Amino acid sequence: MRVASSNWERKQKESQGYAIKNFLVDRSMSILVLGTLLTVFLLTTATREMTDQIVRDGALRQAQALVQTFQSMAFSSKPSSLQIQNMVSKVEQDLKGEGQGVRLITMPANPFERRDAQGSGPLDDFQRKALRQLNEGKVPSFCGLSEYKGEVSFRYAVLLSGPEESPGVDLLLEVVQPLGSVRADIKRQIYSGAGILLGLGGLGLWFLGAVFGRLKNLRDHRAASESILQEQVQQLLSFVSRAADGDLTSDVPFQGEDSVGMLASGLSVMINQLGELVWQSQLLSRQVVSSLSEFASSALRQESIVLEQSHRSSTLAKAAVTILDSSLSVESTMESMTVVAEYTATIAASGQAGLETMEWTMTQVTQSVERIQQRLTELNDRAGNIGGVVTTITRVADQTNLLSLNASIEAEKAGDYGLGFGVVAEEISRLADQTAVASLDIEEMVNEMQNAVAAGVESMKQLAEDVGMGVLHVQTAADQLTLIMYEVQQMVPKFEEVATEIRSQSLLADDMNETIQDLEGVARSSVDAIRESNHAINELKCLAMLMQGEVERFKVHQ
Amino acid sequence: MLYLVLEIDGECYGLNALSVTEVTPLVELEQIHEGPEFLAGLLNYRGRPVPVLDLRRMIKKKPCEKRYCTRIVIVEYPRTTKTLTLGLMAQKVVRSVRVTQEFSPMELRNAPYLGGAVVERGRILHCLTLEKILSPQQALEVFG
Repeated sequence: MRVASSNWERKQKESQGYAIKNFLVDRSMSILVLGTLLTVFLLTTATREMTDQIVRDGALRQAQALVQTFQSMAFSSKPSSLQIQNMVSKVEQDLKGEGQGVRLITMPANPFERRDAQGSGPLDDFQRKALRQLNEGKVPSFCGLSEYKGEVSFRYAVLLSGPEESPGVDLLLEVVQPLGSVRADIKRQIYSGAGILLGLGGLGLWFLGAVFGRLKNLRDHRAASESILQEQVQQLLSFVSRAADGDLTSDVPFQGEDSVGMLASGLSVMINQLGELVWQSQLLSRQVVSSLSEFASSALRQESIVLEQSHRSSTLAKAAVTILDSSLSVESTMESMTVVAEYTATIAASGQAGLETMEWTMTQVTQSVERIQQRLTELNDRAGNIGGVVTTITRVADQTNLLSLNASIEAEKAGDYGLGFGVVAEEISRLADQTAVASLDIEEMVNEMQNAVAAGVESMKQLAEDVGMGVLHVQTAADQLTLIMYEVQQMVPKFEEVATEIRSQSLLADDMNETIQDLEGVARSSVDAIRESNHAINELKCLAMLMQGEVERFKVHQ
Repeated sequence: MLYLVLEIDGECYGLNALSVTEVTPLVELEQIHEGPEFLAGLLNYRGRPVPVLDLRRMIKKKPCEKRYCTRIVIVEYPRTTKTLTLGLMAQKVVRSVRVTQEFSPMELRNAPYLGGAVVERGRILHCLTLEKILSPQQALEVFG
């Protein structure tokens, strides 16, 4: 802005100067000479001021870029002294100008100790001021113009953490760029231009004084060459002001062997060098921004990965807890099952004993039934014998009846003589009838008895079969119970094995749970760390973008 | 008068004891295949063949069952000029009874052998007329 305002002022002054000069050319040649000298003086002054400004701005930007680069290189970890040395030499290589340089001053790391420290050597005013400002933490860096080794230089200072070998030490990095070297060159060019102008002016004066009268008609032509010179200066001014506005792409409008042309050539060289410097800074800052973006995105990815890992490990922890619970419940179930199995084995054993007793009893019953069957068969035989006897009795009774019948018939035939015999025959008949009835009764009883015995024999047979079947069933049941008992007894140690396995499994699950919880804690802390670094990267990125914006303001040849 | 009691399916028939020669037990009879149905067979009675009539077959059209009480009654059957020995087979020939009352007279066209009836010990006792026990045609079939 100062450049722009000085341009404007300069233009104002120049326009005034032109008006006076035109007036004087019309009136007097001496006024023309004075005007020319004034113009040269004004031009020289303006150019000098402008040059100073350009040099200072360029130096500041260059120094800042270098320091930023330095800081970005030293950012990731504490650099070793070798790394610091390498960086310093690199920066020195970048600063090719004469008298320029980088200085590293060793400082105590503690700000309170640092306040009165002299460092590795005596400090000058600028360094003390910079150290004070940096100690208070008001500014991240300190810059200004100061005398250095008898030259006015642009100086830029920043505090860096020291090399990792010596933890209690910080470094004060100072970049020095003397303004004089650049400015002297430009100044020399301008002054030579001014001298030529002065010579030209004197020659013109002599020439004009000698042939003033004859050359009065050449006034118009001279006026024209004046105006060309005006125009050229105007063009140079506009070129310089474009450069001051940041446009370093425009070419110098004209070249020539005269002083103005040389001035233009010098300006052109200067602007081109500046442009090259700015172009390198732009490239560097773009690279910094892009690498920071990549860094930030990778940090984000890492954060998300660690977050996911943390989620997974918490899920895993839940699963481990579930496994622990279920294995505990299975363990208790297995213990109760073992108890039940032992109880079952006991019951089966007693049941087997009962079944053996029952089997013995059933065998006894079978034997008894067989004996009873035998007795009943004997009884049936006896009843049959009784039936034979009864048949005999019946036959005798029948014969008796027949006899008595015939006797009574014969007695009837005998008439009165057979009366007594007839009574006897009747008695015999009655006796035979009673015998027959009695024998019939016996027969019936015997028949009934035989039927009963036969039924008894049948039911005994059935009973014997049933008992036999029962014995078979009991034997089968006893065998099965034995098998069950064997199986159950086999089962008990297996249950115990399973319970032991599950116990060890639950211990493992417990360990696993603890490990997973530890993992979760680790993941959480790494998430925090990544977040912090992410935040720092973002801040850095903002800073880098700001810097890029500043550098990008310049238009340069690509 | 003494009567020999024959029972046929619960009905009591009385035969005059004076016309009875003897009561014999049931034995195997010699079968006569060409003879009439009511002729049970021939009995060897004391060395003489005697035709035996099945009374149940004649009266109830069913043969006698072979029991202890099934017996053969030997009678003298009067035939015009001479008497012929005849066996009558009947069931339950086990008792005789003395009848003091008069038989109530009876003449049935289809059963000419029933000569009257009397109540004896609460039961009806039919009197068999021996002369009419065979119809003339049946007598011809048996004796010629």
